[in-house]
This record gives sequence, C-alpha cells and structure tokens, in this order.
Amino acid sequence: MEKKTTIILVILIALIACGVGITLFASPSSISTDGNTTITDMANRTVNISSSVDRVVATSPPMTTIVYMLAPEKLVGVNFQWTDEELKYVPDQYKDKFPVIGGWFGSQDGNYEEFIASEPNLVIEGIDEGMGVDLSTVEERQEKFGSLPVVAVTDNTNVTKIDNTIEFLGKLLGAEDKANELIAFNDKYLSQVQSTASSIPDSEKKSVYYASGEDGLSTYASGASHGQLISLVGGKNVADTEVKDSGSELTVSIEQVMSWNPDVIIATDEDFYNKVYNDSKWASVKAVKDHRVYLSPQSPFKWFDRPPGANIIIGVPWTAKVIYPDKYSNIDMVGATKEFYSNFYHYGLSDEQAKEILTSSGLKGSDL
Amino acid sequence: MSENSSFSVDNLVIYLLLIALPIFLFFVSFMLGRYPVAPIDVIKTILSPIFPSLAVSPELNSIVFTIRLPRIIAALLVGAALSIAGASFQGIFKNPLVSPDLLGVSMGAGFGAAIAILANAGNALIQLSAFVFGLIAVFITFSISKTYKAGGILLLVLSGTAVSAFFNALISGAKFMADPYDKLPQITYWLMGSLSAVNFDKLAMIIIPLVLGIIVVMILRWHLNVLSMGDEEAQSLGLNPSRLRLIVIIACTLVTSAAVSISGIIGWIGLVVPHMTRIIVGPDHKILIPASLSIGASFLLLIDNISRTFISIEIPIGILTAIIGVPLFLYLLRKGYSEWN
Repeated sequence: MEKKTTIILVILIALIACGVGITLFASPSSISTDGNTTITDMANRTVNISSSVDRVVATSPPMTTIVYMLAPEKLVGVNFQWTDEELKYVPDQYKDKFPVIGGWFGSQDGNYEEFIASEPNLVIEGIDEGMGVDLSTVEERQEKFGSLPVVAVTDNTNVTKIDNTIEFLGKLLGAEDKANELIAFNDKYLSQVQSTASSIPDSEKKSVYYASGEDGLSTYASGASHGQLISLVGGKNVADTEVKDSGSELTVSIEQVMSWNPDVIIATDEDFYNKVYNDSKWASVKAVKDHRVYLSPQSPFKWFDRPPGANIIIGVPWTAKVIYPDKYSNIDMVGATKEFYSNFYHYGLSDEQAKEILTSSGLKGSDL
Repeated sequence: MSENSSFSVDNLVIYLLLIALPIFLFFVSFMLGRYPVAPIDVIKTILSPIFPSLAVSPELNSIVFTIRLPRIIAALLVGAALSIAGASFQGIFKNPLVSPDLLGVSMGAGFGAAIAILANAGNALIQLSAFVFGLIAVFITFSISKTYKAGGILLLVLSGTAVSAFFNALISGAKFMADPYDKLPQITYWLMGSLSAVNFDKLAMIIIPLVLGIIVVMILRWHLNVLSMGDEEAQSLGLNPSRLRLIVIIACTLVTSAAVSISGIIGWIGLVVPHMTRIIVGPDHKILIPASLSIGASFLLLIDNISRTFISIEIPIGILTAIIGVPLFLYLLRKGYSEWN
C-alpha cells in the first residue's frame, strides 16, 4: 500500500514539475499500463522500474553517500569498508548493516554478481566525464545488470550543482522531504559563503594548499573537483599547476610547497596532521609557522573531499571558517554540525561532541 | 684475457670522465630545485658546516641539507645499485635482456610495501617490509629452482618469472583490498617509483646492505668475465661457478632490494645502463662494473633532478627513465654498434 502511495506521490510531483515547466532536470514522468513506472533519468534515458524502489545500491561513493543521507533504510550495500575512525558517528543500527559490494571508481573492483547478490531493485550510476564515466558506461552497466534498472544521475561531484541530483534521488527514493531539507541546508550556506567570497578582493585572498596523503605531498590542481571548496569560499588553491584541469592526484615536492608558501593548509590525512608541526621539513612553511593547518573531519564521511559528493555540503561552512574565521564569524558551526549530523547522518550529537569534532579539526574554540 | 684493456690516452680520458661525472653532478644538483635559491647562497650553505660564518639562513640550511642532500645521495645510490646489479646479472645469466628484478626482488618488495601500507604502517616499516619481502621472493625463487635435479640457470630464470608473477598477483590482491581513497593511491605511487620521500633515516636503513653488496660485486668483478663465458671455462680455471653465481646473486639481491625499498620500482635503469656502459667502455667486467656504477648513478641523478624541478608537480621517475633513456640508448646504439662485440 505504502509503495503504491509513494509511486503515486512521485508521479504527482513529477506532473506538477512538468506542468510548471521545469524540465531542466529529469523527473519521473508517466506510468505504463502494466503497473510499471517509467522514468527519465538525469541522462535522459528512459528507465522502466517494475518494482518499488526499496533496495538500492550505487556504483560509487558519491551516490551511495546521498542514499545514506536521504534513505538509509533503502541502502543495501556500500562501496568500501568503513574504517573504525569513520564508524565513530555511524548509528549502531547501520554499523554492520551494509555489506561491502565494491564499485567502479578509484578502484575498479565492482562485481556485477556481487551487486546483484545484494538483491537491489535499483542501481544508481553517476555520470562524471571527469572520472571517465559517460553514457556508454551506463549502457554497459545496464546491459550487464539485465532487467535490473540502472538509473543515471549527473553532477554528483559538484557542490554547487548537486541540488538537482539530491532532488532527483529524493523523488526516486520517496524521500522528498529529506531531500528538500538537505537542499535547503546546502543553499543556506552556499549563498552565505558565495556572497562573502565574491566580496574578497584578489589581493586579500588567502592562499591554501590541499595536503593529501600521509606525507602531505599529494595534492589536486586548482581546477579539480577535489578541493573545490577552497575557491568556493574565496581561497586560492596554490596548486595552480601546468596541468590545471587534471582531476587526478598530483605529487609535489616539499620545495614546491615552500615556494608556494601557503597561508593555510587543509589536510585529509590524520597521520600527516599529527606530525606536521614537528617536522623540520615543513617548519618554514607559513601555514605551519602560523599554526594554520587543519584536518578534515572524517566520520562517517570526510567533510572536505573524497568523495567530493553530498558529504562536502557540511564542508562548505567548515572550509569557510578554516580559511577566514573573521569573515565568516556569523556562521554557527556547532549548530550547523549538529543539524547536519542529526538530519542527514542520523546521529544526534551533543554540543560537546560537535565541539570535539570541530576543535580536533584544528579550529579554535573561539571561532566556532 | 685482461691484457687487452690497454691504458691508451682515450681510455684514460673516459675513466677520468666517469669518475668526475657523478661528482660534478652531485654539486650541480644542489643548485636545482623548485625553491628559488641563488647558486652562491647554496655554495655558502654547503660550506657553512666548516665555516659557520657563511651560513645564509636556517631555511636555506633545511633546503640544502634536509631536502636536497638526502635526495641527491639516494638518486646516486639507487642508480648505482640498479645498474651494477643489472650488469652483473646480464653477465652471469649470459643474457643481455636480463634486469635486476629477474628473480622476483621488485615484485616481492612491492608486495612487502603494499601489505605494510594496508596495515597502516609508518614509513620506516613500509621500507623494512619492502626490503625483507624482496629478499624473501629471491629466496623462494632459489628454493624452487633447487628442488629440481636438473638445476642450472634456466630453471632459476623460470622460477624467478613464476615467483614474480605470483607476487604481482598478490600486489593486485592488496590493491583490490585497499581503501580506494587513501591506501590505493599510496600503493600505486609506491609502485611507480619516486625519490620524493627520501630522508636520512631512510638512507641510514639501507646504507649497510647497499654498500656491502656493491663492495662484494666490485671484488668479484674479476670473475664475472669467466662466468659469462660458461661454466666449463670457469671450472677449468679452478673456480666454482655455481658458488660464485650464488654469491653475486645474493649481493645483487641485497643492493636491489635496498634500492627498491627506498625508491619503489624504477624500471629500465638496471636493464639499459649496462648496455650503454658496454657501448662506451666495452664488455670487460673489470671496467664495466665500476663504469655502470658511475653512469647509473649519474643517469638517475640527472633524471631525478628533472623530475623534481621541471614543472611544479613531481613527474613520476619511471616515466622519465624511459622517455629520456630510450632515445639516448638508441643514439648510443647507432654510435657504438660497430664496436660492440
């Protein structure tokens, strides 16, 4: 019964959407005579969904993350094992719920049978030209998954465009309210941050180095989707390299970092963060001298990057605070953290816990 | 046999060049880097331990002594190790297509590094694990070849190929299990080869096996000529060919494993530098071995200088060894083919 109402609701919303003329993005559109739903996915493919959508898997982490945020009860597999650190803020009922089924992303270890064995009734695939996933990949997946519908979404790795994806998946999963909440949360901080960022003159922009890896000497070029939050909040990614548009990880030398001499360093590796202040090699870098190295919170998903999916929505205000604590002093970071975790990570944080997450990322208590 | 290494003036010039080249490059390399430093300041800083009044700034001290110096030393040592091992292996296996990882040392080391990375080990442990597994792989190769009655070189080579393939599969297994966002890139980069993470602690760990192995090969180089002619020849001269081979293989495995543990897998050098050297100084191992050492060291140092200074990101060294090495090799081949035999 509930499934039926869900479907009807989906169709109603779709019809309204079409009526209003919002055809910018895909929306479930019509129902065929035999009780099947036919939708148009975000790649303009027509997909026939014969059963209710209550068991879902995605082929890579950005979409898996969104499903976990919107409808964790419908997720039946994840792409990689959560580490103990990442499990810290995963509620008990989800800790061992999701079997690891692999995927097609950094490691191409997806296995179609493994996917099918988790008995999903829908597979989500993210189209991302930068990652080498295009329409032909989707067709290939659909062919392999046979009768199991594969639904393609786009723009799942750009925080300024991800609203469409969230909205689409919200409809698909029958979680519109949750999706709207998440979109509202995202838009609130995006608009705040973008208006402030656009008012910062170039000469006053802080230079930021994104330190990845245990030695901190891997980074991403300024044009990559990894590390997109730096320029979004008005910082300058120092890795303005010869290979601007490379989306892949680049290795640099410590001398190069010294000559860039960034004002701020944002790290994603805890080992690096723990030793950077005591490492003589890094001692003369401005950010280290000024004690302005920050570590992205990790649990249950990283805030800053990896994947650059809906998990970095909370990274928007965090990165803003990290680079410009004065300019963004009006953001209530503790409140934002608590709201985000209870609404989208299904985990209620106390004030202390939220503060603990924020201060161990390097933010000063007075700046929260 | 050895009388033909006449000390003509030409040869003398070549030998002096071979001694001078790595030394010259060693000093020039200090001037190069992404951080802009005036050469005169570098020279002052290099001299400052002896004349403290010359010190420019603590920052520069750190650049010269903790960043550039260990990396320069590492490039020289790794280049020397791979080349000397390649030259010896080509000699004892009587095969010009042999490289130092013939017996499984690189894949073994790669696997050692990969499981250490998976286990969240620190840098020192990753290196140690790579070194130990490099040795283990060669030991397994040896044990397998010994189980067959009809022993000999061919079986050793086949066992090495099998063990390499086996460890390669284990590396893939480790990659397969690795966290795609953290561990997988780390393993992949390690396997690509790079000297960017070298420091004095790492150098200290490998210096003993490396120098020991090089000394052994240098001492035994007199016998390599005989070994490369064949076992009957060696026996008739009162040598024990299989024991000699074993000692050389152990020494080469030590240096290769030590080199790989610090640099990751750098291909092509161990295969090609001995050929280049042969074209320049001829096939006599007495000269070939030290000359390979010099050319290998200089070559890798040159390549690493390019890798760390050419553009703002580090160019993986394995790419450069091939891109620069291949044309150079082909050019030398044209020049030297006539006098190669």
